[in-house]
Amino acid sequence: MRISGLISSILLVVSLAGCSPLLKEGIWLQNTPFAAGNVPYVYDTIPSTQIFDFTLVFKKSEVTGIVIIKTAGAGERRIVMTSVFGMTFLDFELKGENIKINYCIEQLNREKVILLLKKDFEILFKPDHSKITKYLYSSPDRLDALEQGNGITKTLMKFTNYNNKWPETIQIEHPYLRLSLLLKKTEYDPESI
Amino acid sequence: MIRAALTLFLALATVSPLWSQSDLKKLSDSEITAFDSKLKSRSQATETLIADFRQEKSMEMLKNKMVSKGVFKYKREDKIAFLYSQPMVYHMIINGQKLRILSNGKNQIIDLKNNPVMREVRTLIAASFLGNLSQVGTTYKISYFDNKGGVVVVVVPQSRQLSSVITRITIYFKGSNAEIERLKIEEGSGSVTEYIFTNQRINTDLTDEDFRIN
Repeated sequence: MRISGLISSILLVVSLAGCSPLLKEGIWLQNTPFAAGNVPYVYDTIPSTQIFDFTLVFKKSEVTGIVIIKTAGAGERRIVMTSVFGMTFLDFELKGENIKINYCIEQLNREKVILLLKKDFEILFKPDHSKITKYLYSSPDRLDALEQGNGITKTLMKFTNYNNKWPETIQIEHPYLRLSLLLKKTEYDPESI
Repeated sequence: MIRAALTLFLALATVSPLWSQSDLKKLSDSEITAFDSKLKSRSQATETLIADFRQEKSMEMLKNKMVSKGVFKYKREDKIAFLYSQPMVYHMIINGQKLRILSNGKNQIIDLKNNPVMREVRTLIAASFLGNLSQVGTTYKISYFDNKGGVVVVVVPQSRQLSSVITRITIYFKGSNAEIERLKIEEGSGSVTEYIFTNQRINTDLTDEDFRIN
């Protein structure tokens, strides 16, 4: 019984370890030209307000809405997620490594969920957030994808539809959590708000 | 002297929106009964309604309002649709206990049993159109005010769960025919969303198909 249990555990570990990497063609940070810094940014650092449509998918559930990101300065941003109908789900500020929650609906107010979102946006704003990152890039100044972390915390980001240096579609995936967040530049004119 | 006058003017200008809101005159019991009766007779004559709507979301972090537009549809007693066309296509259809969202060409159906906020928004919109606002129960504190001949109904949720999301709903009715002109939702987050209804047409040929869920 104990032996069969052990075999099952080993098989599980082997099968997990044997999972093919999500970013097959990527190169680890230490082997890229970015090892000494200068990882191309995928989000503008100039103070501005950007608006994206978002689709958050967890297992078979899906929530759609709008994300408003206000950049006040380097490392200082306010992020608000609302429904199209107008209700605010989440309103938080990132400053350096700190997070300040201004508002969060009860259903979303879970530490693990908030910290996961915090980390996702930190990676988005600073793609060289961690040394354990693999990059896929089509030119030295353009990231196509990145992969960070291992196991359950693995994060995969894809950057597409580049327009004027910045991607207009950002796909963030946590494959082992079956959680994904799609950000698409919205039709709202940021200049008008 | 000029500086003092300017300071006083600025102080008044800053305070006046709050002051004017609290200055609305409360309706007397007989005026409330008369308004309820007007609302009821309008609702009894309204089987369906179509209107253009403009949604304006105000947030402290934004300089201007976020504006979206579309068509609003209502069919008694429990069918409501917000069909957004600008700046994006997004449909939100409520039919009884079901909510259907059409976004990016994808359909999503949600049971309102699991969404208390949307359930309450539906209850209040339907009650406004059905003319039974005063019967929505003890879950709300409802006050009626006179607004230059029109009527403003202020609805304050009493349950902790709902009031953490929505702190106050204000419904602006036209005085002449109790037509809903504006709906203002103030949120626990501090944001305010207003829905302004124009070009209202009643009893046009809307069918159940316009509110199809499946």
